[in-house]
Amino acid sequence: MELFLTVCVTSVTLGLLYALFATGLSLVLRTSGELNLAHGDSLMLATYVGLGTASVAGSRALGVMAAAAAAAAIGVVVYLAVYSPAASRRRAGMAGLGFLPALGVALVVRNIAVWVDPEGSSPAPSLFAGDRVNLFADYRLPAAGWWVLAAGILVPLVLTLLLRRTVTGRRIRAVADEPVLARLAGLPVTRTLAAGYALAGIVGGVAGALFASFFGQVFISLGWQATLKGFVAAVLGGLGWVRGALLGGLALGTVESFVSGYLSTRFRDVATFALLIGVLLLAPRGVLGQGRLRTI
Amino acid sequence: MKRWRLAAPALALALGLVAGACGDDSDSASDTTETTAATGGEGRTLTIALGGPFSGASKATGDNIRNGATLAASEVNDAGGITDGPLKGARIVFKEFDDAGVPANGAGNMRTIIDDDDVVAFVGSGISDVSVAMAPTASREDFPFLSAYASSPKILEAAKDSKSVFVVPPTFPAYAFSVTDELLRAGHTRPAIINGTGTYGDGIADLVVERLNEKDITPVAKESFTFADTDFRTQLAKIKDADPDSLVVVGLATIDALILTQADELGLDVPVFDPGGITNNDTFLKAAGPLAEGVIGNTPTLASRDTPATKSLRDRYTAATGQSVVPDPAVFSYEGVRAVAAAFAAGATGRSDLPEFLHRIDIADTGVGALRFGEDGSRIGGRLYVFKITGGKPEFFRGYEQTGPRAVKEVPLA
Repeated sequence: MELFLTVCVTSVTLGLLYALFATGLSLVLRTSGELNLAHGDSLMLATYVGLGTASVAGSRALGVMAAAAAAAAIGVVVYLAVYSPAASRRRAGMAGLGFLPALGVALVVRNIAVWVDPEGSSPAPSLFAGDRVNLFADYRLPAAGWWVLAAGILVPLVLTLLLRRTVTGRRIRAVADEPVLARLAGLPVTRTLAAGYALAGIVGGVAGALFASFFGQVFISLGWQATLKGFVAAVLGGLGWVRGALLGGLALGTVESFVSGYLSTRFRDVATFALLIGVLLLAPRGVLGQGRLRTI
Repeated sequence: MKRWRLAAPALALALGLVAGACGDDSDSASDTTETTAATGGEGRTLTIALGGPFSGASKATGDNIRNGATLAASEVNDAGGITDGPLKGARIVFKEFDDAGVPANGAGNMRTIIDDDDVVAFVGSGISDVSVAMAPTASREDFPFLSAYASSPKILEAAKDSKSVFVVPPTFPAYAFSVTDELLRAGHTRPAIINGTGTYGDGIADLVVERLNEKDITPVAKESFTFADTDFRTQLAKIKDADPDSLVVVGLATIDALILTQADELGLDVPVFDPGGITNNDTFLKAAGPLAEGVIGNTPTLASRDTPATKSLRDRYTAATGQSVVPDPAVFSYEGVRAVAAAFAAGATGRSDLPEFLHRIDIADTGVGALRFGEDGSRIGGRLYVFKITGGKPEFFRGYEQTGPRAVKEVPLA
């Protein structure tokens, strides 16, 4: 019974972290059509920024805000400096190579992180207050685990409200659904897309801070892991604004945890990708699919 | 003009064929160095290919490899170069080859290194999978290959038909058997194992199981993870379910710390054993904090060793890098370069006869112990020191010496 409960808790905590990684990717993918392969590395570097800020300022809250702000800033800068010009050139005849600038940005960001942390990993004091709480038997969930649960509920709610009830949110959705019409209607498309990247960055920065606090470590390899897991979760869920990422993340966390717990860790990735292939064959746009890929 | 455009490559090709026909089957790549032998090594250089993860997630290991090798070369060069033999006076220089910890990069680098006539030997590789990918090519070409830090038995298995591949650190069985013997000595009969997958993790874990089986003990649970994982709670819950009396962890510094943290969260409180030589490491001690207390592990470097060679190595390393501890990858790349220098001092003339002389070297004390190689290229006489982490630092209590490819014996701390 203890094993079953542990697997359930791991499914939810890991699943929600994956969902947060997926939300940022999904947001950018739906808004601009770009598969932002640098999303994970950006949030990883931002996590280092957040931890550094918390250490210098002596404030956890400032650390989380700094992580979110740094990820948003990286997202906007990268969009304006690389993705936007690259997209224009792609429209001029380089279609099919859309992922290359993102890959390049990911490598640049990762190498900056290597410079920041040559060891490749560092202990991370929790950026979220609280103590371990006994869940069942001897299992004491770290405070950051509760914050992951809270973020897993709050972030989708806040994002949904933001996208539906604010001017910027409605513009983001308009540009995502009909970019040409949006441009013709006089919407500031570039600024709106930059806002989309910023929003994705904020979610990513918070996710990175939660990840580091939950595990007590920050790794450079978090970057690629966040991109990979986030992408799988986003595709599983179906590239919706929020619900798809949430569902995909939880599905991925559940499959990974139950296969590890009741079969073997060695089958975990096989099971995950078998599920992904199955979903893509049966529902090419994911379980809640409503998105479309314009340029990848 | 058009005719000359065709004639020039044709002439070059013809000259190349003539030159090839005039040669013999011996290693032409070593000609440069072997010519030097007739005239002495004064003013000449011996180029060693230095390989490792100089970028990427394992960059710290690569940096250590570079630091150790550079220190050994500067010692040799500052003392006037190779001390004896046909190449007396020759100085050591390096060409660096970054593998970023990726086996395919290592394999590609090996081909480039062998094709480079200036290079007399390879020292390096910080990851077993990379060395395993490189060794077959080096073996096929009889190219001197000294694996520094990476020490999987698969490296030598991949090279069993030649005598040109050497493993500088003690090999996996020495690491695995020494700590497993301590687990058995402590009276544990229900150990569980959690290990990373791949050449290193599976390799060490399988040897631990083998040693346990020799004493009719079977692990109550054996779980695995990939080195990209961060959440081990599921595996640890399964282990806890099996009610073990001890836990063998085969990971890396940060992963071991995560495993201890998550085991603590789950209430899995049993003595922890590290047979991978990982936990005598600032990264682990810092990350694991108080949870590191009581962990039993091993390392080839004994902090209290105070022979003149040890003091010299430690002092010079500290002066060069500012670090107070000489990390394991630095120790072994240092020894690898010292081994090459010793082989040239003993009479080697180039890459073709270097393996033969490497088999003959017998350095009494490199700073961590004696260095000589067995028939199969494994290190003979390499030592591992077992410690228990007490008060935040390793407290050493026993030594083991590798006496054969798969044999260790207990030795006093020295």
